[in-house]
Amino acid sequence: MIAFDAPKCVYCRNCEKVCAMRWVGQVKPTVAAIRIERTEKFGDLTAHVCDLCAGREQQECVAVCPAEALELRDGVVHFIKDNCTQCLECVEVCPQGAVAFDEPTGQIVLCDLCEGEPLCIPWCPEDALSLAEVSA
Amino acid sequence: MKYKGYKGKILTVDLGSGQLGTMPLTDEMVELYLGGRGLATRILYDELKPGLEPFSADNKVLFITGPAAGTLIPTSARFAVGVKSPLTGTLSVSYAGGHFAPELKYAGYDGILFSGVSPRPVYLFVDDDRVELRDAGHLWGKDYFATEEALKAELGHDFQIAGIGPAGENLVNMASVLHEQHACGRGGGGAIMGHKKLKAVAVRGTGGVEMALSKNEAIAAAKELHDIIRANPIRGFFREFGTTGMLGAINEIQAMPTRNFQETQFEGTDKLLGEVLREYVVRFESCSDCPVVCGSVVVVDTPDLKLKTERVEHQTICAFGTYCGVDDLPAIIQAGDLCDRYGMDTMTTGHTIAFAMELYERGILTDKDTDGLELRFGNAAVLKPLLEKIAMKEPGIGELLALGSKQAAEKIGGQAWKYAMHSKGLEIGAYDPRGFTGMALNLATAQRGADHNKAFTIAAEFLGVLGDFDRFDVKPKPALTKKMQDSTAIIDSIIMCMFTVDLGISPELYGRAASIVTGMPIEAYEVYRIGERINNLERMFNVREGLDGAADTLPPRFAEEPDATGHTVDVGEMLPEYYRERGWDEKGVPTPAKLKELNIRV
Repeated sequence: MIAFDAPKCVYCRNCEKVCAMRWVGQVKPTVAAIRIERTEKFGDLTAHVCDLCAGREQQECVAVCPAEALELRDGVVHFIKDNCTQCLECVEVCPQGAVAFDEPTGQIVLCDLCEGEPLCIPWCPEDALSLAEVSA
Repeated sequence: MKYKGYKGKILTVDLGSGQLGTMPLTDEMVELYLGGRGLATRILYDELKPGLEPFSADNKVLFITGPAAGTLIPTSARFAVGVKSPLTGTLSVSYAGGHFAPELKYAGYDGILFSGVSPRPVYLFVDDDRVELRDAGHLWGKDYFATEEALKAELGHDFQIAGIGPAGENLVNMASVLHEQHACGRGGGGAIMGHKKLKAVAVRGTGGVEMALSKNEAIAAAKELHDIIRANPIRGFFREFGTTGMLGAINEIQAMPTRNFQETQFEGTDKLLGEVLREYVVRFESCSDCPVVCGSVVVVDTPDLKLKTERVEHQTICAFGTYCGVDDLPAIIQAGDLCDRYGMDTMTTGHTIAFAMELYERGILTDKDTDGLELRFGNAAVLKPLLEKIAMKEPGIGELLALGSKQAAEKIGGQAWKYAMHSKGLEIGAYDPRGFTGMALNLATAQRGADHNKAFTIAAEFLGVLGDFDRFDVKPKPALTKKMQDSTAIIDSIIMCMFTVDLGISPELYGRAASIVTGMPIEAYEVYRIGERINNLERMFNVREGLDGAADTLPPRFAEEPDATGHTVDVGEMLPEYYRERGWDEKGVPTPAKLKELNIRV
């Protein structure tokens, strides 16, 4: 999973942009698998990104999917587009708010660690993101 | 449009009738003018009637972005606000970073053009294609930070806000347009918004922005530009010190404007240095899409003052510090914060106060003119009350200084004009022209007045990052100044941050950044050509307003009073060669042949 070091984050949102680009072919942060949120001026930052439901055995998005379009494999949740019925239950249920749906492409977006080399990590200018083992 | 990056339309808002619409961008417009400053110049040249009063319903406010806003290009999250300036009577386009520009693009617009005057205070609400003019009665009178806070509480923190404070509402000539703590500072755009009764723009967008390259190519090409900036050693200085890293060096070489340019070295500079300011920093802050991270949050905690705000910049420290002879850093931080809250340009405001201080010390202004404020150099205690008087345009000294130094001097009459340190009505940035002759020429010839950022020749005359020019030698400066004014125009049009000039981004790379986004093949040659076109059209705007080369001047002080190193500068000596370089006639007017060569319609 992607670990977020909040005090290091400077809110440049490069991570959101490069993530969205990879998923949907345009820069569209509302459908990124990582989103940085700030709710007050100069306030603390939170990252919304998949943590495999805090490392529990069962992921809520996988459990709720009625069509077997999401499956946990090698430590990440994979999206199987052909199976998806676009019910968007997974988007609703994610405790992190880290599952997004891009309507034009029919893509369910959630962190798959870019197949092993997450782009967001080198795009962060302040080393606020890193790859971490999931711990329950 | 066949080019990527753009959304292809400008939202149009007639504040008089409430009519909303859109104006298309055309392929030809962006081929010639690219975006940002270029598009603003083209659009406002066409939209603004010659000779109009800045404070009239005919003036317009254009919010504009560049093709790179919202993409992966580093430092591209910038927007600009263009108006006919109440301070200078020229076109004025001012820039700010933050998060507003990408959001506007995601909502589907390259810009917003406001015309007319609203009968009551309003703000513009933009949520993708849902656009409404909404009542702003509850916001009118609020300072800018409170305005932004109220709108975010009302609409959601994912809305991005830009707007004005009381100074804009009160038609203060140096009123700025704010977004977060970022200011489209110079030229009085905030006052034109205030005149239109337009308090703010709130925008949220859920769309995307396309880039011309395929996604993997675009990611790799943009990352290369990020990496060039991140690897540059100067990046660390920006991060640690913002723009304050050069204060000591500029002071040491005796080119630091001090006490309204009467001197060029300030004895209190040691107390204002970036290293001193660094002690107040509690966290770093970045604009969207930026690897530089030059922003930071500072906390002042003294018995007299408790404040959490942004770090002040070089220009603000000089404006309220060296210009005013003040060495009290917390007071300067507070002045910067108050300017943001009131919505006023720190530079013109500080410089106008320094001008008033010189007049006070010379006896041209007396206690009865200053409402009893002792406007002596070094008197930090006057800053706070004076800022309030200016922002509120209080009758007396407030109303007078709210005009800016040039117009205030005209009102005072007599010899006052000699001490108003401006060109074309815009006050001079904190690099003494006597110490940098290229900067002197740029300040005198820049179209919206003495804007140091229209060609940051300090990079070539002092920092050595763009060649190694003798800073006093006038001979090579006409060519250098023209070249840098032209390359700067394209930075302002992509729009990228000016700081990238110091961080390894060459004209070739600006061309590449624009190409990656738009798909237009832009080589270095074309960078200069587009930039030259923009500078020429800006000049034609001024010419149409009756401003030709006769306005390309600096105050007489720089030719008459030597700086601490014994140097003076007479820009008049450099102008004929500069006009030749530009292909302009001896009056500083572009020739018909030049306009034709650059394909400029006037």
